[in-house]
Amino acid sequence: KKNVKIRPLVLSHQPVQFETS
Amino acid sequence: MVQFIQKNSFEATQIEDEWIILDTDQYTVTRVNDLGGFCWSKLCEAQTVDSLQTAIDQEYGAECEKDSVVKFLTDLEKCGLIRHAI
Repeated sequence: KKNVKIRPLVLSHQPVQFETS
Repeated sequence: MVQFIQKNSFEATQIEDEWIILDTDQYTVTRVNDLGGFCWSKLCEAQTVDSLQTAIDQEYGAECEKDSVVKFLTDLEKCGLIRHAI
């Protein structure tokens, strides 16, 4: 199991889309 | 050793193997993978790269390269989610 390499990732980052429309 | 900690209070939700982090101040949504979510939960307290690496090793029993932890923390910092703990 020690040979398994894992990494933390940021998948996406975006502003919240507000619905006024 | 530089320590990092979450900037503000955020809403984080786990959906399957992803975490959604909602920044209620900046109105942003950030998605991280499962391991990223684990690191995020640890960052409610001050953490160094080494302490995170150790926590990952203990939790997952798998190797996590230091560079990838540094990259992840840099990305979170760019997203405005963490800051240096003083």
